[in-house]
Amino acid sequence: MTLDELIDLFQAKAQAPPPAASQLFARHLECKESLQIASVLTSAMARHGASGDRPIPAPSEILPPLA
Amino acid sequence: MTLVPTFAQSLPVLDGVPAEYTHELYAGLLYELCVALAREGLADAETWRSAKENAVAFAQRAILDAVGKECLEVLERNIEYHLAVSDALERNGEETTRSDGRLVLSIECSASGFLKLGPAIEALEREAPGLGAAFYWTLIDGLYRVLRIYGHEEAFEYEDRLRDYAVQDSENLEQYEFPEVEKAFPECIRRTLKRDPAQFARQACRTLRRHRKGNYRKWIEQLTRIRWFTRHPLWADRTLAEEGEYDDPPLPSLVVAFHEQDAIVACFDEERQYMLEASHEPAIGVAFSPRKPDEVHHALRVGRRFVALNLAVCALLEEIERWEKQEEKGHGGTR
Repeated sequence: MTLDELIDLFQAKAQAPPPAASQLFARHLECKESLQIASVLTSAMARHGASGDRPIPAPSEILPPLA
Repeated sequence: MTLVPTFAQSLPVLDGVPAEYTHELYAGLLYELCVALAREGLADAETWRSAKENAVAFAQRAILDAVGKECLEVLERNIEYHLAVSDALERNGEETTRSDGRLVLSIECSASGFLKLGPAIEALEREAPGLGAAFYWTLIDGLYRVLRIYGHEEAFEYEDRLRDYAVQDSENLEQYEFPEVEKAFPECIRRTLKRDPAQFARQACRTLRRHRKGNYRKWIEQLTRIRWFTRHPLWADRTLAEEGEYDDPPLPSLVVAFHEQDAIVACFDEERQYMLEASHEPAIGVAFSPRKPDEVHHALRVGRRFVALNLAVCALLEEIERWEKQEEKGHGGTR
């Protein structure tokens, strides 16, 4: 591939719509429930790590999946 | 990894969950950056192939290749910098996406380098009276112009603040311990503290030129290189600092002291405990549109100049360290 072809490729990609997976990911990033459950998960992972890998109890409420 | 025993309400197992994820929702700017990097000659089809056709990896590789492996290693040994190209706008410590279609090239310092000059200044003074002072003031005045450093001026300011607090808190005066910064200075520096800067600079230039082929020529060569980069301020875009509404100027890239445990280092140790409580401007920041070649060129020039300056400073720092080690072993040689 020449440099000009590479530049053409980048320019085409710059104009292209985002892939479906990225759009889904972006929807999750904009979804309050997804962000909450991500926060619960990461804090649980931190507690799990800090407690010497001992199992930890699940939170009282599990958030619903993204509709 | 299983987080909980299996029962009705359990957290999901994380086995097989990817540890990282790259998404490209607003990738237009990223690909425009890739175009700009390719047009500037920083990357080509081989870079694209070795980046496994990932645009973020392509841009990273192009920028790292532009800095150079050897240069990166020297910088990493001495100062901790983080370079980012981002469309995020930081304000009051929170990030929002810029709406003007521009990117920001920024470099932030998170751990300062340490330049110890006392023994080197004394050696230069032994070589020729006035040479140590000429070296120090030429270096420090240049660095203050372009880089956020922690040196004697910051230590003086800290000492002044501490004395002001003590006056207001006269009942507990005995609890204050003052650093007495001036006492940390080598005699030749103390003597020239009240110099006329312009007149001294001309005189220092002549002194350094007279000794540029002498025993300490390598240090003077490095200093000449640093002077070249410190003629003009580096920061080209003050509006970014204003937009960011940062609490403080950049974190110091370099602590310049005379000895390892002198009063300047003591002041820095006191002050650094509170440094991370505030938000800081990046060491440099330049906004540019990847669609405008002149803006891209300008941003790259500022970045290159900053890297080259830091490389010259680190080279001097390592040169002086090597000399000190030789001196300690009793093999003093030509510098």
